[in-house]
Amino acid sequence: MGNRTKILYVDDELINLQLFDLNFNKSYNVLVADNGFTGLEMLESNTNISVVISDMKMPNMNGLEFIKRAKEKHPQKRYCIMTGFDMTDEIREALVNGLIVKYFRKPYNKNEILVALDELI
Amino acid sequence: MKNRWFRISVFFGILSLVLSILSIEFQIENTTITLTWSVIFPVIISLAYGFRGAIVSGIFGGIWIPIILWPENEWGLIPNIIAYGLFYLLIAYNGEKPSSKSTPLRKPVYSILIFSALYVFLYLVVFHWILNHTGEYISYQTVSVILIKNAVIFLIVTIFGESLLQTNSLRKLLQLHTHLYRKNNCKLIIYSLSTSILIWSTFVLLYNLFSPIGMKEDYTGLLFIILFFSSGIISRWLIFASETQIKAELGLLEFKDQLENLVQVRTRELEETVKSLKVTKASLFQADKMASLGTLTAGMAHEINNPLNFIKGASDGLSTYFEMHESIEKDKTDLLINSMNIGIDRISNIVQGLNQFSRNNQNMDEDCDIHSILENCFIILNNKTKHGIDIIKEYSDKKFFIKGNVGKIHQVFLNLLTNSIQAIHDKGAIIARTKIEGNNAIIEIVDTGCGIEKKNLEQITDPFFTTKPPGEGTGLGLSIAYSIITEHKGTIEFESKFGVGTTVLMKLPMNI
Repeated sequence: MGNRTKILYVDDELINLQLFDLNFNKSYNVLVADNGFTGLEMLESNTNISVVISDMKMPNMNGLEFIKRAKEKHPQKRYCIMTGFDMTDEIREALVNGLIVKYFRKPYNKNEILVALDELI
Repeated sequence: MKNRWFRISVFFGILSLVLSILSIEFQIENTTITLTWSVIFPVIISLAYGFRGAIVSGIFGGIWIPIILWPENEWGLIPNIIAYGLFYLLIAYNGEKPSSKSTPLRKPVYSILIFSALYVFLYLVVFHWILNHTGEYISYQTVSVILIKNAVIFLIVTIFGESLLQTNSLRKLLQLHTHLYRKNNCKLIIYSLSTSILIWSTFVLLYNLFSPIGMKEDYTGLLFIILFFSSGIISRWLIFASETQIKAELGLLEFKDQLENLVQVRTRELEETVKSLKVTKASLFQADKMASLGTLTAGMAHEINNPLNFIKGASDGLSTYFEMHESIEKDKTDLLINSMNIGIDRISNIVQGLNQFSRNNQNMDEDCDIHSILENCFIILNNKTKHGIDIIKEYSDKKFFIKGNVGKIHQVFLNLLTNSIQAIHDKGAIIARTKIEGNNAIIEIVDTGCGIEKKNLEQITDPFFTTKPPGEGTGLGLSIAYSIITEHKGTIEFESKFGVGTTVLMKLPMNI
């Protein structure tokens, strides 16, 4: 179990965290956090996280803010956004700048995510 | 006609006329002057009035000259005065408009020729008859010599005088404003008279002063001639004055025309401004609506997508669960999981379609997949079409993109499809066709609705034009559609037959 790739999922909705874990823990080692600050802490304490997927709309710190801060400290990790919003200018800009590598829509398509994660790792 | 210049020139014209007649009475000159007076006046009139004038002048000249010269004529000068009076009255009230094609010199020459021919003929016939009846005899030769001499003199004088004094150009000026011309018929007569008086009296004065057989001792005669001369000069001066005034009047008329033109131009400009303001108002109105709609749907989309995510996640989870642990009733559980997934997909599509439609960005660089936009619109309008309206899709095999704004293209198709749906009152069909022609994508939306009346067809893209009762619909849908298609450098055309259906044909350039 220790050799499996670690991914971090950040979302303020508990149900989302639980479901994501349930659905993906067969393929990956899933770590979850319910807000940006916790997410940053987890990135500190678990240095071998390869991919970070974050929700956009969260109180206190939104997804892009979180990723920006995380990328400063851990630039080599891969960051993705998952959101119920349609593609916005913010997200497009982040994609263009390389801040995030992928954008997933909610409700997500399990296959789409599996394939994308495969490519990233 | 009421101005004082005219009155003064009339006075001097009549004065000259009276003086010329009196000169016969006082026998100031020989028959030459008399004959020529009787000739010059009519000729000048005919110059002003063309052929008609020439004919009348010829008749009068030919008939009345013999009467004037009739020895022992017991009526004195009265017949003469009456004749001339009638003659000029006739001309004045019968004045014909000169044709616009007359050249400066041709008309006078024709008139003079006609006049001379008539004059000579009548003179010879009538004069000869009279003289034979009274017993006096003058040979044809003598008469011919007199005639020829007179004819040559007045031919030279009138042509020269006419071109010199530009009566014709004055007439041409007046031709431009014929209503002014009518008023100035009489003026022209007087001007012509005055001109001829001046020319002729100059000639006579010089002749009498410098010719050996002139009347150097006859002071009364000389006085009369000087009076002629002066009246001629004064008349001529008055012509100048009047000409200036007429030119001023014409200038005013032109100015008035220019002003009217200017007013028309400004009015048209104003109308254009009002029209474009109306269109701007319509666009702003629509943009405002769309902005509010965009905010609403974006927010709602997110709110819906999140719980939808729960259901999707749970459905995935259950599916995996039943894979891991054999389902006791696999068919049942498969159906249940499947139904959930279908429901989730459908909701997701609708929400996505709404998002696409209400995109508020102004970006014209997006790749618009026409087929997928059409599909979105059909989904959004599904509720309205599922009963009674058949949707037929004839799409091109090739996938293509238009460069533009996805949200706006959504608006166009939604407007057109909504119109089609509203046109179909009971049952009908809507056909959506796409094909590629060269560099353009052709999109056709055909419906079997009630159609558009021919008289309305031109106005349907006008902002605020609607055939619906007030309160229902703003009349903006097609004008917005039109402006969006134009923005995308395309064309949109409408064909319709009332009672049969409508076809909307759009041509959009594809991105290379």
